[in-house]
This record gives sequence, C-alpha cells and structure tokens, in this order.
Amino acid sequence: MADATRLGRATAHRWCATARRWRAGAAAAVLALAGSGLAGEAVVEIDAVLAIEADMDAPPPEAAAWQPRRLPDRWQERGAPRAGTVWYAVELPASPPSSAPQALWLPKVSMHAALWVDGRPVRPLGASAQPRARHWNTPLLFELPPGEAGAPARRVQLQVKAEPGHDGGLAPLRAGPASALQSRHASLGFWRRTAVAASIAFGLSIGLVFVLVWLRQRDQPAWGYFGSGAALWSVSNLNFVVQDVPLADRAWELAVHLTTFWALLLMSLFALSLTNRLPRRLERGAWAYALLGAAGLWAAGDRGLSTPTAALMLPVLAFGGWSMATVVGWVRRRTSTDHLLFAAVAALTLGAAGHDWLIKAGHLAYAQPYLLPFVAPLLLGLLAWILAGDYAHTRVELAHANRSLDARLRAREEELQQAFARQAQAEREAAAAQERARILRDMHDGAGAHLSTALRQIERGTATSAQLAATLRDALDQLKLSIDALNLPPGDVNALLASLRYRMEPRLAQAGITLAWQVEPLPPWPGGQAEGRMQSLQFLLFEALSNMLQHAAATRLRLGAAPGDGCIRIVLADNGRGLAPERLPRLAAMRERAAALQARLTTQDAQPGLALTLELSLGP
Amino acid sequence: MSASRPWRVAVLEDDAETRQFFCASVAGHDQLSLAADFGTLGQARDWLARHEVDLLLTDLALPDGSAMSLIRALKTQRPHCEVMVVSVFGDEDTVLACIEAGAVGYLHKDAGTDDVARVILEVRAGGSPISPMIARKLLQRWRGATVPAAPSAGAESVAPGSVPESPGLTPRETDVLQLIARGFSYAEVGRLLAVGLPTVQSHIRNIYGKLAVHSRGEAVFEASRLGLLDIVRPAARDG
Repeated sequence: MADATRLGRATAHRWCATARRWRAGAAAAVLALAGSGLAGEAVVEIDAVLAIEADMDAPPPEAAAWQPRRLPDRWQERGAPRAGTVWYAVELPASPPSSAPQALWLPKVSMHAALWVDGRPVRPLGASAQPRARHWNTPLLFELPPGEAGAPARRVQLQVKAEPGHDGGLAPLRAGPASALQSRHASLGFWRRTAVAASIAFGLSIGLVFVLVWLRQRDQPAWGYFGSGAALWSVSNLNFVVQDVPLADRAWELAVHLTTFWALLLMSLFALSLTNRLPRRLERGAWAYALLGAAGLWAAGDRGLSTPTAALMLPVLAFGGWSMATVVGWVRRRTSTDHLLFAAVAALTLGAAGHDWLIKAGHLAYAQPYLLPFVAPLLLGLLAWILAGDYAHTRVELAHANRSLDARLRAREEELQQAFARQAQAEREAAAAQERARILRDMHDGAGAHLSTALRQIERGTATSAQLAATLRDALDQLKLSIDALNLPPGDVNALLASLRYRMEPRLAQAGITLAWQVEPLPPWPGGQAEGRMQSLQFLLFEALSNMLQHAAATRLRLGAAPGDGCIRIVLADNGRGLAPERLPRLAAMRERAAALQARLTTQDAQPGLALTLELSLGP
Repeated sequence: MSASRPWRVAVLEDDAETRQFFCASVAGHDQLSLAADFGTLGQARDWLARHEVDLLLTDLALPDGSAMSLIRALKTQRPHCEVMVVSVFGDEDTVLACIEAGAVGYLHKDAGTDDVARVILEVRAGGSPISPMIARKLLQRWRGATVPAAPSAGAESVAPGSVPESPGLTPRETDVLQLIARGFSYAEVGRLLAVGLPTVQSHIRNIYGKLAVHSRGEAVFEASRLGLLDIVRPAARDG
C-alpha cells in the first residue's frame, strides 16, 4: 500500500452536497489524483463515497438523495437495516488511452455486489438473481472498460445487496492498474478460498475415515461422534468458499447454522464419550436438543438465524466447554507430548474462536479474516492423532496380551502333555507288569510244572520214554497255548476252542482218536473279560483233554459248544473209560478252577465213556 | 513244472540236529529231493545266487542275521522259488510277518517226519498252512481295510484310513477264513462250503498272496501319505 494515495479526509466534506456539489467533489478528486501524477498508474484506496439506500435494479439518478459515506460502511453499526440494497458512487479520474487496463478491487463486500461504469453495467461476478452469488468472504476484482476519449472522469456506481441475517456492508475500495491489483486479489483469494477449501477437505477426510472405522467397530462411539462432528463442521465451512449456492438463501443459511450447531454438539459428545463420562441419559438429552434446535431454527424463518442460533449455541458452548475440560484431564494422563500439544492447540482454537466472535460483534475491522477455518484443522488433526495413538496403544497391548496368553497356553499345554506322558508311561508300565505277571503264572502253572515233572521222572528213572515224551509234549503244548493266549480276545470262547483244537489235534491224531468238532458260533463270554480268566479256562480244558488222552483209552471224542440257557455249554464226550478216580485224578482241583470262573463243571458217566460239561454263565 | 520231477528243496537251519531231521525228512520222500543244506545265512545266500531250487525251508533266527531279508530278496530275484519258514510256536505275528515278506507257509519245529513232507507237498500242490489264530488276525486286518470287489459285499463301506488299491477279500475267502477261525479243518470247511479240499487250499494261498500285495500297498500308501513318493494317478485327473 506504499503507493496508495488517500483521497479521504481532505475532500470528504465536499461530497456532502447537492448534485452540483457532487460533480464539484468528483472533479476535486480527479484533480487531486492528477496532481499526484499517478493517475492510471498507481493503486489508490477509496474510503469516501456517496451512498443511497434504494431498492433499484439500475443506478439511482444523480438528482437522488445521495449522501456522503465513509468506508468501511457496516450497515448494522449505523443502525441501518441489516438487509436491503445500498448504492455507492465514486468518480475516478480518466486514464490516458495508452495506459494499462484499469480495475476496481473490493477486498470485502457483503454479501453481493454489482458494478456500473459511466451508466453501463459491468459483467457481473456470479448470479445476480436469487439465489444471488454470496460475495461475503471473497474479494472481487472488476476490470473497468476503456473510458471515452476526452472524458475528464469515470462515473462508478456499486450496488450492494444483503439478505436478512447477513452482515451487510462495504470495506474501502482499491482502484488502479489491473496487473497491480490482480496479484493482491490472487493473494487474498488464496487465503479466503483456496486455503479454507483445503481445510474443509482435510476435516472432511478425517471425519469420514473415523466414521468408517466406527461403522466397523460400533463399540467405540467416541470415534463415531468425532468423525461425524468433524465431517459436519467441514460441511458447514463450505459457507466460506461456495458463492453460487444451489439452494435458496434461507435454506442455505439454515443448513449452515444447523451443521455448525450439530457439529459442536457432536464434538462435545465425542469428548465426553472419549473420557467415559457420557451417561445414557445425557446422550439422549443431547440428541433431543439437536432435534429441538433444528425445529427452532426452521421456525425462526425470515426473521434471521443469527439470534436463535446464538440462543441455541449458548448451552452447547457451555456443554462443549465442560466436555473439553474433561478431555484436558484425560489428555493429561497421556504422554507429555500429546498433553502439551493439545493444550497449545486448544488455546489457539479458543483464541481463534474469540477473534472470530469479535469480528461478528463488530469489535474488529470489517475486512478482518476469520481464523477458525485455519486453526480448527489443527485441533481435528491433533485429536485424530491422539485417537490413532490410543488405537495403536490398544493394539500393542492386545498383541502383548495375546503373546503372553499364547505363552501361558503353550506352557499349560506342555504341562498337560507331560502329565499325559507320565500317565501313559505309568499305564504302560502297569500293563507290562501285569502282562509279565500273567506270563510268569502261565509258565509256572503250565510249561514250568510239566518240565519239573519231566525232570523228576528222569531223575527217578521210573518213567518210560513214552511217558517222558508225553510230559514234554504237554510242556510244549502248554507253551504254545500260553503264546496263543497272549492274543486271545477276552471273552471269545470260539477263538479259545479253535486254538485248543489246533494245538491238540496232532496229539489226538497220534493217539488214534477221531475228533467230532461241533462248535457253533458263541456269544461273548462276559466272565472272560476279567484278567486271567481266558487262560484259566484254557488250562481247565487242556487238563480235561490231557486226562482223556492219558487215561481214557478212547477212540472217539466229541467236542461240542453251543449257547445254552443263559450260559455257554461246552461238552467233552469220549467213548473210553467211565468215571473212575484214576480217570480224573484232579477232578476236585478242576471243579475249584471252574468255580473260580463262575462256571459249573458236571460229569456224566456214560458207560462206556465220560461226558464232561462246563457251563459258562452269560450273566454279568 | 513237471509233476514227475522230484521237488528240489534247500534247508537253512543253524541247529545241526534239527537240520539233519529236516534233511532226512526231505530226502526220505520220493517226491522231494534235498538240493542243499546250510547252517548260516551267508552260505545260503551265496549258494542261492548261483543255483535254482524249488523250495527253501528256513529257520528265522540265524547266527548271522534274520532270514527275513533273504525271503524278500528271493521274492524278487527267484520268483519261482517258494519259501517256508520253520517256527517253534507258529504264532500269528511271526507267521504273518513272513507271509508279508513273501513266504507261502510255515512248518512247526516239532513236526513229525511225515508231517514235514506232507506240508511241503501241500505247498507244491498249491496249498498253504494256516491256523485259526492266523485266520482271525487276517480277518481283523481286512475288516475295514478294503471293500471286497464282489457285489454281495456292497453293504460294507470303506473305513477311514483304508489302504487304497490293495486287493480285498472275496466273500468266499472271508467265509473260509471265518470257518477256520472257528476251528474247522480244511476238510470240514470244504464240506460246509460244498467245495473240494484243493479249492479251500487255493483260497488260503490266494489270501496269502493278497496279504503280500496288501503289505506292499500299505507301504506305498504310507510312503505317499508321508510325501516320500510322488504317485502319478492318471485316473484321478478331472475330465
């Protein structure tokens, strides 16, 4: 602004006059500009104009009641209606035809401006019919058409319109070469629009990300509140950058106020939810208030939204302040960096909010830019950063917990495996010990006993070699039967009898005895499940056969087995000697063995021959 | 094979007395001839590498090792040479291990002279000895292992972990095994099933043959399950 020349105070009183005086004043301004030697080459600031309130679509005539006015002219400050149309007029010195194109720059106008030069309208910037282009936050640069040759000055008339609820007004203008004004216009335009648009995009992205995360994890309402609050706040900020809106002005204003109101409410809910201080009732109350507020704003209608919004906002701001205080307490327990950053950014945000409020209340310059759109992204970014850190922290803790759980599980599994291994080992050892005991008993009762007998027979020298061979045969057969018994399925009498036949048949054949095998399929013998029972039954039958072979002098033997009345009946019937003491020398012992098997051993003297019947109970 | 030519038998047994007994039993029968006899595995291996023989009668436990490896080697190098194992107890585990290795039968160590010749000649005629315990064990092995090919056994199903592509028992073979497991003799089984004795014997021989294949199949299956073999199965390809 070093080259700007002030027209202001020196000539101000001259503007307060009739149309003639208006001309004189304008001429004086032209002279002043010419005297400075900068006409058409330097940028001049204009803060003294003529103004008239007139709801007209074309400039009012010169004879109308134009009044001198100083810029910035903020309508509400001089008690004028906040809505309506005001015309401003100023006369600019004509520039030489050879000079560069001239332009008029409006750093701030609210909320819609249209320009006439020398009585002709200049190409409008945005829609001039409803809904009108909203110029309140954007600088306007009008290129001036070339002036008529020989004309001493150029008549510039500006129409400014504002809807109810808008802070109508006009800040000082700049006139000068278009090239010089364009760079200022671009620079201010960047901060007012491009930077704010970037801030909106940033807030919207963060908001949508957190809403998506919340949709996938509904048990974290804080994320949902934060995401939707950030997104709504960003949407409300579209008011800063969008000029040609698709809605009627009132609908647009309602949308802007509602989104702001809801965004603040959601951010408060977020703060309380984050710090676990959001009772269900308070949450429901906040929702009800959000709907109530929407209805209230809708009902406010054409009377303007600023006052009802302020009324609605007061409790929200109090609520928000309290919730932010809880966040401060919560952040204090986090890392020191987060804590310091949050305190700094929160203070900055509060400062920006106060600054913007001062602008709105008219305590700061009319053209002063709003700061909240630039500061709030910092707060949103920091909150997102803290939330992400919280999430990462939870994940790390979870992974740690999983690892330790895994380790505990592995240790427990190992312990169990060791316990199982010890138990299995103990069971194996017990089974092996049992098996050893059984084999020893078999060897003792069977082959061992027969071998001892054979030894005694040899030592005494009384036995014939046939008797000795018979004893040794018995020993060998017993041994084979014992080996078969190792694999006998418990309770399978068919298998036991089959093995007995297989082992004894060569002896029977050798003795010239014909065997009649009448064994039917037999049910499982429950008594045979117990340890040693199968071997005991095997011994019993072997002894009966051995006795028969040695003492019966039979030529035929019938071995029959069939399921009987609650028992398995096994019959050994021969055609040899009948019942005599030497025929069954160990009958008493055999009966005892049968009794131990819960079986009944009966003899039937057939003359000739003897039938031995063994009944194995099928009862439990 | 000419029926008139005596069957050449080699005897491998480390106990000299038992070996002499077997040699005498073989030599004393006009349909058998003793080709050679050995006391150690090494001697038998050397001799068999250079000579043909119809049957090897061998003890299992020898001073220089187990005869099992020799049985396996003979099955590939001398497929026409039958092997019989001498067993004291004829217990099912020992016998089945030998059958799986490729032996066709076994002989009790305490068998009489006539029994030795009779059992060898039964083997020559296509039979194989079996005990009820062995029959029961075989039924156990096949139960749930594979489905017999015959339609009459269609109701049975393949159990989990079954061995694929190994031959199953036919219903007739199952009948034979079940009767033997219940203690019936070959002759009695023949009468009960209304078939001749040679038919029953050939059933047993066939079952033994399947067991050898079965055991090889199991080995292959197990190896492929462990990823040791990359078996190409064209039938398994789609379309």
